[in-house]
Amino acid sequence: MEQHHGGSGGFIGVDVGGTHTDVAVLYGGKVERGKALTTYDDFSRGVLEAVTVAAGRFGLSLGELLARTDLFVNGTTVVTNTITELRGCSVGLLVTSGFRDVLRFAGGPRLSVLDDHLQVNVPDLLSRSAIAEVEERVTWDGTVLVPLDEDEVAARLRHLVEEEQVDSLAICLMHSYANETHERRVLQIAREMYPDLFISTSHEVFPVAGETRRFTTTVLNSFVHRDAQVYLDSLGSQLTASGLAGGLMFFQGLGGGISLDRARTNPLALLGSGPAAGAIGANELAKRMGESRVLLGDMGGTSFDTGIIVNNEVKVAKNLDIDLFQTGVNIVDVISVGAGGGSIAAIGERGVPTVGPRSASSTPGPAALGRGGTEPTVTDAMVVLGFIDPARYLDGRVPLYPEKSAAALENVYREPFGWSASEAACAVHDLAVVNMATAVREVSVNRGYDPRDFLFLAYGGTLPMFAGQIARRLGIGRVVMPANSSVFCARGLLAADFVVRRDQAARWDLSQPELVESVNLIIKRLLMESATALSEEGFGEDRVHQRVSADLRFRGQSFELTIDLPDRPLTESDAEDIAKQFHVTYEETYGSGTAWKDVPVTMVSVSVTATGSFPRPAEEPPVAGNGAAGLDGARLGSRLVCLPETRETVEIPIYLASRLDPGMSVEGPTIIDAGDTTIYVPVDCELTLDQHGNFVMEVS
Amino acid sequence: MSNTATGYDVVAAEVHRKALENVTKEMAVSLVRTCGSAIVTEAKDFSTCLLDTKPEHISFMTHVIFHLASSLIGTRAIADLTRDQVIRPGDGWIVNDPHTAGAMHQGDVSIIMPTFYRNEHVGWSFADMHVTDIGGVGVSAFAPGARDVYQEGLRFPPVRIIRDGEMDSQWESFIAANVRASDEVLNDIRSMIAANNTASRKLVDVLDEFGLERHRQFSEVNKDLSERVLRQRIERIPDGVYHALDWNEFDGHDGPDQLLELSLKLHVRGSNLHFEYAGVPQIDAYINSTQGAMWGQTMSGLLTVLGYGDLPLNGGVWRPLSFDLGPQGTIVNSVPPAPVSNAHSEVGLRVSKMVKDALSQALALSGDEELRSRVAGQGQDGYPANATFGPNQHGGHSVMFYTDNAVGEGGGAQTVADGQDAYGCTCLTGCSMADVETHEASDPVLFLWRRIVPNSGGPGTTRGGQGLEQAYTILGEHGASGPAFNACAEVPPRGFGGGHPASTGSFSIYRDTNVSEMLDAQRLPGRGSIMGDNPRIASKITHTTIRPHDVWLATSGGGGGLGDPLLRDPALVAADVSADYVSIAHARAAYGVVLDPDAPDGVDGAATEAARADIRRDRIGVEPTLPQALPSNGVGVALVRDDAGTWGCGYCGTGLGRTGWREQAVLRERGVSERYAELDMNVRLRLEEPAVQLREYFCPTCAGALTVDVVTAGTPTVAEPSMVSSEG
Repeated sequence: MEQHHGGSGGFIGVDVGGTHTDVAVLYGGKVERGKALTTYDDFSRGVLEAVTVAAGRFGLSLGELLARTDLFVNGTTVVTNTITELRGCSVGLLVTSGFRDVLRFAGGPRLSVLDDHLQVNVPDLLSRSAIAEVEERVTWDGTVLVPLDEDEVAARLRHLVEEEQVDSLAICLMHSYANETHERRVLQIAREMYPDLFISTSHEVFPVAGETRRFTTTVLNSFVHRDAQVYLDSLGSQLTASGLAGGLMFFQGLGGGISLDRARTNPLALLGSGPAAGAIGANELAKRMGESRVLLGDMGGTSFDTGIIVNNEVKVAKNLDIDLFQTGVNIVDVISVGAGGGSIAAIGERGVPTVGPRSASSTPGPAALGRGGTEPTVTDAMVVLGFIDPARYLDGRVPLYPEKSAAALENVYREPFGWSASEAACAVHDLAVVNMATAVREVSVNRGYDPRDFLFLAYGGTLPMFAGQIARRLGIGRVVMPANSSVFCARGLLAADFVVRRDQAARWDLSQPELVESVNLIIKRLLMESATALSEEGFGEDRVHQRVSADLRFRGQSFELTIDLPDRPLTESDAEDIAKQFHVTYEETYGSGTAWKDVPVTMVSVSVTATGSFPRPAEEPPVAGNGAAGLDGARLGSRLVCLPETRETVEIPIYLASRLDPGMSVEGPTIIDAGDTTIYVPVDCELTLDQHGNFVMEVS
Repeated sequence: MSNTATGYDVVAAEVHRKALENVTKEMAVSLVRTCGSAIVTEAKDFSTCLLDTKPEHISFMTHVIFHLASSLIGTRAIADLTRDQVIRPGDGWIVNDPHTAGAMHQGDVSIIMPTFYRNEHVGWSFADMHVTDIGGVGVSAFAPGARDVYQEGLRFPPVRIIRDGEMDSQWESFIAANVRASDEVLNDIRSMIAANNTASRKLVDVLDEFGLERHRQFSEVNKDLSERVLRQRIERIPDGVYHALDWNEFDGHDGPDQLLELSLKLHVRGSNLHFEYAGVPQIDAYINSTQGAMWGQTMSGLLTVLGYGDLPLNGGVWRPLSFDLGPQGTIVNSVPPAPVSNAHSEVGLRVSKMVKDALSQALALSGDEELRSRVAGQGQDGYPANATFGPNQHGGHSVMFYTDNAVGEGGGAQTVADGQDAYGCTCLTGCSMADVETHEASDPVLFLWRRIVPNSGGPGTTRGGQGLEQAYTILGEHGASGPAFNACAEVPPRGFGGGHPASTGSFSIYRDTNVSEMLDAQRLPGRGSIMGDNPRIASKITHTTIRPHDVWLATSGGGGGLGDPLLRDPALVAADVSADYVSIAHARAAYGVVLDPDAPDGVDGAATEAARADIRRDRIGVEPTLPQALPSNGVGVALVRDDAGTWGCGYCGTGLGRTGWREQAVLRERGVSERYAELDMNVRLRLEEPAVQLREYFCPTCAGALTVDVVTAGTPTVAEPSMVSSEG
């Protein structure tokens, strides 16, 4: 990815989100940000606009900044959108005879809900007539039972391309993870017949046992390829034309970047990159702060994302489900619930107040915006309580109408409950906090961790208003709200490494150590393939780190745990150590005494993650805000605020973040105004600005 | 923020509800993580919940709706038993007896433990899962060969096997000595204990936050709120008595091939529902039902229809309901020694279908559009399966009980969409099926196909969901043996509102096949190429062996259709044909749709109109005098009733009298198997009396389908709802 003939130390991270395109630029030791509206007709326009804004903050033009840039990292939702909106291209699928309906069955489509009206089929990514069966059969251990009928393959391909008019292919044969010969041969025939067709094969995209996820992942990769290609090529060529000197990298949901060429052939890797960028950024910040256990949260307009970092390791979840599609995509373990600033407050059929998951999104948006929204939202509640200053919303760029917020809340809640606007707002606030706290519990308690042992890292423009209360509900003692909170995901991209991951099904019963060589062959191949990939991208050996891991389970179980393996060939004597380590990990995860007794451990797959790192310049601490003027100098004034924790309306001091000096502390209740971010310090909490410009809150 | 309008803090009550929901979720997490058996991770055959001391549910987390009943009845049994005893923290009971303690069948084992706060007994926690085995003549608790309950394996009325949060070691060895796969079974039980221990711990946190008094207050508040929502929905259903009828199939024990009648009278009175069941005398086979399966499968049918939206499950949802199971000693209210090891999946599944049928009749007459939109066809609810045991390719043995065909049953057609393919049994929400590659890697099987069954969904304006068919052969030198069974072959699930029944499921075993020949010739045996003996076999088989290169073929049926198929959008039928979901012959015979591959929507419009006119003429023997319009009261509402109590055709408005509307309609009665052969569908033909008949009723004026009854020959005309006047 040609990062060698770069500019002069500039790094650019661009996060294309649903509403805004956020940019963070690290240059000359300083970080500046830029923002623009996301442009759906051509995403690259919004990207260039936002970068231009950030460039301006350095006194540079777009071209000047790009010419000084070593690495440009971009996270995009284009692939996610293509899937959720079901507007991918027309895919033809070749499968083993007898297994045309794998995608339709989807491993059983029934949802775990009562309502029969919600029990629908998984949407068709392609018509059933574009699924062709070919005669061939490989068994579970890779034995070829029935050879490939090559004439039939050619006939089926002709039918798909010429009759069904597909513009891409997916090749999915049974047990191809154990023996890919047939899939390769089909690929070869297809390439000879139709050299320009985009083709995904299941042994390349996701060579792991289980046809539902393997086939779905492979078909999706072809399904999204055209939208991805248009986006990648457009951004790539415009950046080149605008003078980008360094490398261009696209961020994967896995938590690292890949080059444009790799993203073109494996576009599905770009799924879920936004939340992943936040998590990578959170981990970088945690490392700088010397923290190893972090719960992270990001609140946007429609949703709240949360995840967990243990021992400075961002957990990667396997098998991402996107909408009703079950994929094999590995992705940073972040969950999302419908609790954002735009979440609508209403009354459920039981007569109980509810918040979300329905959202007012950006149009019409909260009632306070005066764009025709009449349903109250979380943002309206915070306006009514006095947390959001109508005159200074988003740095004063957007006018707010508090009376519309109050009217919207009263309209819903006065009659059934007799609530005033502020009483209703307190209720909405409390429910929003509970919804978010429940999600944080899910990523901690449900994964075997006690949230009280963690730091809560809260970012995004909205969350710092709620973070203290969420922490209090969970018994978390400390909250950190980073500098530049509202472009934190883009900042995370600045920390991104190049990552290539390879998974491969394996089958090793550890009670038979003598069978180790079959696994060694796989490990060797994956190490070599990933090393080659990184070397092709220009990474010298000194900047490459390879990590080998395996998924294991007790025989008879149907879920796996991942443990690390040494990055060398295994020996028979390793079997016992690996099994022991598995037992330890199992009991660490599920509690002592839970490991199965006298049941053999089986290795079911091996993964190699290869990371190519970029040397990055140090970031200078921010300049002090106000010098000798002290806390009083940072005070912006005071405001009447209704505090949800006491239900009392009191006058509390407001401080301007940009005038606070590192080391300064304020006691709650108080509000810190940081432009596009409002931080609330609840009663009995204390907030301190640290040396890196982060706000650290002690919660009692 | 207590407020005058409600008298309590509504926000805190809601937060409390969510906190209890978290506790039941965390119980489930403990159960899944410590167990890890495919039964909980894949089939999701488990539940967790909390009850108070009454005992009533205060929070319920389920993948299996009928555990609402096992948890309630099981906990009541323990509460009664211990009324005069001292119970301590860490005590725990095992329960799996359908006859005395509400279990679905003996394979569904519950662990129930008391919860305490500061030494005060505050309620109960409950965990239940289908354990790997429970001993007896069956496998995994399915014992079609058993003649009485004593042959079916271990039966626990409430027994205190847990002290201080751990299983008593003597009970451990007792259980281990009586079940297959004892390591797994004990692990299953331990994981349920772990879930209960989690409840004990986590509930204390909730009580610390809210205090005991508010905990009790909010538990009641939330029960009241759920009760109110359900009552508000029931109130919008017209008062009356709604009838449903069905037959349980039993051709086991070497005959005779019986159809066992059962019935439901659903009494709607204000905001109450009363379920009055009746059935023929109990028999000496595992199909008999007991209180737990009756109540539980009633809940399955009810809550998938009325349990939508903002309705958290707790004790409140029981309050509008009452039950009458009739005298003891019938298939709906059996007593020992009746065997009951498939109570939930034989009579029980028929119960959830009858509830759907009766409810749809009632909802269709509601003045409320939302409730009318909940009418639906029945799901298949009855599946072919075997449970076999044999040596595998890894040098060990495999228990092969594949739930694929249970998960692969089609769901009933809905007003909002066609029924879901592979919906599964109504009671099992969230169930999933294992991949073929997973089966082949662990067991000595080679799958030949797994596909959607064409024409399996019941025809209707919206089509019933489609079923799954799969075939495998056994590889290696041994084979595998065990029971095989199918609950729904001859009496298909009904459609609603003129929608048709679905094709049923079946299984067969091909003997002396050409599989090995074909494989030797490096050809793949497929649907068109398999040859072998395929004799008709019974639907319930105590024991059979699938030998190497035999082929086991199991077909799941579909879901019932909704609304007259002649009103289905022809373009949707053409799309189904183009996808091979529906044959050209079926499109013509069932839907009156003629195809034109060159038309943009694939439909020959003029020919289709003519074909539909032919079918209508054929239905009533004369030219219809009014056109059949879309039902004015919504999809699937084929009958209307005016304020004066006169029935009418939902399509054209023709009056059908104040009573006995079936008498006013045109009836066509045919044997269902013969009729379905004409439609290019499949329902197993009975060789013994009585025959199963399809009674299609049409409007004499527009020829629209009013209802399609499925009955045995000679059954009196099915009773129509007896309405209670609104003044009464």
